[in-house]
Amino acid sequence: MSTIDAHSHAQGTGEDVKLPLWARYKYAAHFRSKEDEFDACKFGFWLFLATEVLLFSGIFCAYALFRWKYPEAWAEGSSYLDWRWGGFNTIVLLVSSYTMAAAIRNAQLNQQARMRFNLAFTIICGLAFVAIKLLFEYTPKWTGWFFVLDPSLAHHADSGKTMLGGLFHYVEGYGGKAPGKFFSYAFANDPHLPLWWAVYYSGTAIHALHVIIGAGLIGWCLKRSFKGAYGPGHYTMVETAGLYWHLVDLVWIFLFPLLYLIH
Amino acid sequence: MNLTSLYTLAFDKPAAKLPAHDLWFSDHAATTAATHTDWMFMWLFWFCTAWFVVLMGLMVYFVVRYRRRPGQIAPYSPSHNTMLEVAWTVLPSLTLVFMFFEGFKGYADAAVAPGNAIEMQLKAKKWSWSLIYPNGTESPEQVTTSPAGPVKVPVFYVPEGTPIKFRMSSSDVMHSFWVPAFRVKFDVFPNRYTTYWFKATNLDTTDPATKTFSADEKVDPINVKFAGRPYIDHYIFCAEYCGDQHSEMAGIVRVVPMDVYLAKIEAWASESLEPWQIGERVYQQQCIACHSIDGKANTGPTWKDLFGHEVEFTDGTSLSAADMSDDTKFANYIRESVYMPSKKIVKGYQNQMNTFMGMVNEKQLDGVIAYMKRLSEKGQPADKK
Amino acid sequence: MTTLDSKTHGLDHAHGGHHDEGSYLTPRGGWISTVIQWATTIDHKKIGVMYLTAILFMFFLGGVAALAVRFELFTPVRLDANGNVTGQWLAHLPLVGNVEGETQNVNPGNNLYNRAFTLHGAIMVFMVLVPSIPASLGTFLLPLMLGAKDVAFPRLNLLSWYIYLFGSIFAVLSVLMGGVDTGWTFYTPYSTTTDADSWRVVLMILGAFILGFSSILTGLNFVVTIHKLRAPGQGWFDMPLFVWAIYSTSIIQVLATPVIGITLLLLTFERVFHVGIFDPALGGDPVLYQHFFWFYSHPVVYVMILPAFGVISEVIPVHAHKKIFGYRAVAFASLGVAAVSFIVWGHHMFVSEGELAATVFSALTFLVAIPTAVKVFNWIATLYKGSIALTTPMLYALIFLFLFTIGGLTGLPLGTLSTDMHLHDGYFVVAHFHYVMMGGTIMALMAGLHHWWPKMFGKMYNSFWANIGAILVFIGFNVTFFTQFILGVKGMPRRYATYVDELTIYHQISTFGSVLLLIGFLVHLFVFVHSLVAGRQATQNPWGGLSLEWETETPPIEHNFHHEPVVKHGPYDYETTVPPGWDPKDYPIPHAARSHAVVVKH
Ligand code: HEA
Ligand code: HEA
Ligand code: CUA
Ligand SMILES: [Cu+2]
Repeated sequence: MSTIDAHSHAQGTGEDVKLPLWARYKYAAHFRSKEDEFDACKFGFWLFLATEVLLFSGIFCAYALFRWKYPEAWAEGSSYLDWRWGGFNTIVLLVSSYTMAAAIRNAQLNQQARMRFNLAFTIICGLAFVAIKLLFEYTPKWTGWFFVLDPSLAHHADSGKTMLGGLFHYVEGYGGKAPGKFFSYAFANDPHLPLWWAVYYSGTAIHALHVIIGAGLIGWCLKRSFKGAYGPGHYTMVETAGLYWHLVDLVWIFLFPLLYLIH
Repeated sequence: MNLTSLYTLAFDKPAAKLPAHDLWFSDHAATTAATHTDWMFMWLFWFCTAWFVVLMGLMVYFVVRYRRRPGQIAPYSPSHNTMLEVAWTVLPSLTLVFMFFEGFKGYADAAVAPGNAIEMQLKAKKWSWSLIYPNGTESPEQVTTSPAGPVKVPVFYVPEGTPIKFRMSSSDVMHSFWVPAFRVKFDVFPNRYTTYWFKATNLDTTDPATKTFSADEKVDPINVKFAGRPYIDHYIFCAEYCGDQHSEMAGIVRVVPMDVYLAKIEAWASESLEPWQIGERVYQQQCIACHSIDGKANTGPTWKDLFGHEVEFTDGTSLSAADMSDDTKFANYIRESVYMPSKKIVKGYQNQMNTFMGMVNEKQLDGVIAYMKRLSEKGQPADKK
Repeated sequence: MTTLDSKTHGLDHAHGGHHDEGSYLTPRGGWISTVIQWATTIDHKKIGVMYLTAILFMFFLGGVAALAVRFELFTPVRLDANGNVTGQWLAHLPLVGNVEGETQNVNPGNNLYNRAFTLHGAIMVFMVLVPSIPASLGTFLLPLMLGAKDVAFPRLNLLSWYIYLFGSIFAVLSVLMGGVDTGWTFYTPYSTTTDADSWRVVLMILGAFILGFSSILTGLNFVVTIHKLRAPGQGWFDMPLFVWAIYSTSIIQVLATPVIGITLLLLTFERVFHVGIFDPALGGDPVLYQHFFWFYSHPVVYVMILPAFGVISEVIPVHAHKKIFGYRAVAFASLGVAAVSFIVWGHHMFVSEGELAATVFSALTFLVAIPTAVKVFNWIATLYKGSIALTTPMLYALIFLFLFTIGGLTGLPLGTLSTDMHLHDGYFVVAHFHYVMMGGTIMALMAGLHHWWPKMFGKMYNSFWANIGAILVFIGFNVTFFTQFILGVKGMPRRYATYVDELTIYHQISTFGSVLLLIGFLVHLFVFVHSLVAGRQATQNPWGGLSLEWETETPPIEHNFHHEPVVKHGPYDYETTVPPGWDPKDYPIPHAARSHAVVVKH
């Protein structure tokens, strides 16, 4: 959302160039004051968050409808998910939410180095979240290939087939838990199981996409923070990126119990 | 809560019988429920016309009366009047409540079939309708009427004055069954049943739209035995967009006296047909939209000279002329193409066809194979050559 | 009044201001740098003009597709005695090659017809009507009416424009690849199975998805602008009603568009990955798709009509020099329509959803008629004792009232359960929505365009020919679409490339009407081009409007106002205010009123 963080038309004319960027920033010319600008950005961003919530509401509606129509498929589907991975990822996101909030606080207090650290840590958490999803959840379920470090590999009979120099191990009969037409899991009991996977993959994939976008936004903040763009009284961009990150977190807080915990 | 209970909650007895009502712009209603709909429509028509005339009358009057005159500005007049605002909010609201209830009544009548209705099964597919009667037969009759343009459409016989209920389903996309004269349509879905019921009004021979079966063998050879008996035809349209020949997916509902209806379905049930004749019928009812029998190109390959001619598939494989002349190999190929059509696609065509599993049974499939042979030079029985 | 230096009448802007600012239209530098300036501008006025151009162009494209539809329907398709197919039109067009892969067909015309009406519907809805008034007139006027220098997020505004352009390119690409035959509603499972081997359907769906983002961002921008950037002295109830309408519209855009976003995304997944959420073959539910689709697409019809209401609420008072009747009622009716619009979507599915749902949605549908009725009553009451000038904008406003009333009233038999079972998916619906969309929104767009044209481009147009155009459009419209009500009642289903003999005459009348429409719009096109090339210079306030946009120069200077305006009178206080830029001699306020009149201090 670089656009919201409008470079001011009134930026630093004839000011002391030795001041950091954030201190030189006044406000965009069409606003009446810096506070006005900050409020406007925040308000606009809240509206944007509302649209994001509505976007996910579609997935939740589909979840609710099919859960009501095919409870057995839903019970069976969620029994294939490992709550430990879901739980671990929840913790990862919660921690990142904390570091994000801390980064905003750092900006307000002009603690530049800590702010950068916290931003970077948040990004790493986001990426870790996506990596865990891909490596330990999507790949084995869809293809039957397990990452060699996956602890749950021990619970399955290893077929002995490996890939990428032993990085991945194949478990016979485990894969095929894919959506719709890709579904080929031989031991399924419920004919509507593909639908469960459709909702699972659509929901979590769209969420993961949001995690990536959020990490990108924070990355942008991080980059600009090296130029001294944020500081007391001027941290709109960090604040909005933070709001976005909390939303992404919140969506996961709903997805996690719905998909992993209730049967 | 289902609608029946909702309905009995709202009204303790069914809608009072209304006098026959003509819809101004259309043929008159052909079912009892349709009569109510027409009455409702005309009521709305006059309601809307009244509002329109009053509002536009005022508008035109004001524009003429208060047109701009040079050097004069508009005199002061109030720009707000709470009483007026309340009045013109509340009064229309009341009429709207009435509209809703009357519409609901008509809908409940049209949606809830009586328990004694004769049940038939209506099947929809791209792009034709077929109706399975209570005794398991289907109507083989077809006509070319104007809605269909270049293709023929089926004729469904239903008895007058009897409640009839269609259990409808589709084998591919959504369709919608609409008989304009009944003033009702309902969508037809794949993998789900919906119902459509109606009770056609008794045939009225004084009505010019009611015809009688001809005694002339040449006009209507099938129905001469019913010469002089009345019938009336209504169009069937598909009202949910379903692709290329959506506009040709038509049909005719023919309302006939009960005895004619019974005689008809009995005759179809006791017909004994040659296998190829069964195949021809399947072709006409289900395959004609996409396959020609005269060699012309269409959505799918033509059936003319299919037997004994080499085919090539999009996956690079092929069946030689010899394979295609082999009775068993040919039959296996056709069987696969009917039940699992996406397995092999003939070069130059798209993967367009859905499976006919459940729509063409074993006997009919044999018929189709026999019919295909008959359409092929090489498939003729020796004595015919 | 403002602190505006009021000697600055439109013509001589050079002398007026404290800064030596020229009109926003004045080119700076050579033509290449001018083009670059326009392409990278964050000036809402330039963005508004670019939107306007694109939308009119899209309207033209959609209109061409409409004519193709009408010409195909001029005669029914038949098989003659020799086995030849007659009555086709599209199939014989030399320009239209046969669509790849679809060649072998009894009736190739059908295929082309289906692509033509889908193209027509999709362009008209997603690329013309949804952005129409808010994106063109709204972007241009909103900051002016609020006395602001720009919208809250100028660069986001430019981004919206590029997203719009990008989305339209996707859609156009899919047409170049052979077009799409799903109908603008993309109903499953047809839309997920048709043209299975081709990407064009996905492109079209993604195009609509992208256009949705443009819509969301514009709406969001407007809401914030209205909250934060009103001029000093301008309370909520001092805003012009156009702003109220844009505000309500934006709220709908922000709240409803994400739902179509997710729907189209799932539809794409469905097509590309066959995930099965809407596919009955896999246990999915096509009716769920319809619920999702209409949850957006019903509110969106009010996105189309509310700005039109706003335009009419401006044009009528200004050209009648009369305070709007029931300002608050009209303002709240906008919000009321916006609120109710979210709970009536099921009325598009009376014959596919369950009985209880149908009943509830029918009842709710009637609710939405009430706030709309209130507006119509207030507009007509405004005319009472006015001083009505039959200028082109006013003429179009009257045409709007006429056509929209018919369109709205015919919504009633559609909302009534029993009659809708007959009328659904027939030409009655087609006629209904053309009366509200074209008779409503497009007519209001024409009213607004003629009303603000002088402000936007600094030129007057030839009112005589503009009026001729308006009358042609009015007649042509009724000839085209009134017959379609009759067709619908008689049983003509929509999306049909051919029809039964009984209906031929009505289809032919309708096609004649559409040719009249074309002529009418061509007259307008000529009038506009003529105005740009050779039009008389416009004055600052040709109609005597009281809202803030009339207080600045014509065309506005780059930063809109020389000084931030301060609002001291309402936008419709005709009894007490001499319009800015007018000589009090030309606007003699009666003595009684003059005592508290606000006269421009020169
Ligand atoms: C600008 C767009 C627009 C607007 C404003 C409206 C306004 C309304 N529409 Fe329409 N509608 C569409 C665009 C619009 N519609 C489209 C595009 C479709 C088809 C989509 C598709 O399938 O492709 C459609 C379809 C449609 C249907 C579904 C039909 C079907 O497919 O079976 C229904 C059913 O209820 C309906 C109802 C209404 C109602 C009740 C209003 C009301 O808001 C109207 C309110 C206005 C008035 C009532 C008139 C003014 C009032 C008076 C003159 C005072 C007197 C009145 C009273 C006392 C009531 N519309
Ligand atoms: C804004 C919305 C809009 C507008 C304006 C129109 C305008 C027209 N429409 Fe359309 N129509 C729809 C929206 C609209 N339509 C939709 C949503 C559908 C449903 C699609 C579906 O089922 O999927 C539909 C369907 C539809 C059908 C039904 C097809 C079917 O179901 O089989 C028909 C049939 O007659 C039709 C005809 C027309 C005609 C003749 C015009 C004419 O009024 C067009 C006249 C315009 C021109 C000829 C262009 C002239 C322009 C210029 C010369 C440019 C210069 C302009 C200026 C300077 C202002 N339309
Ligand atoms: Cu079947 Cu339309
Ligand atoms: Cu609607």
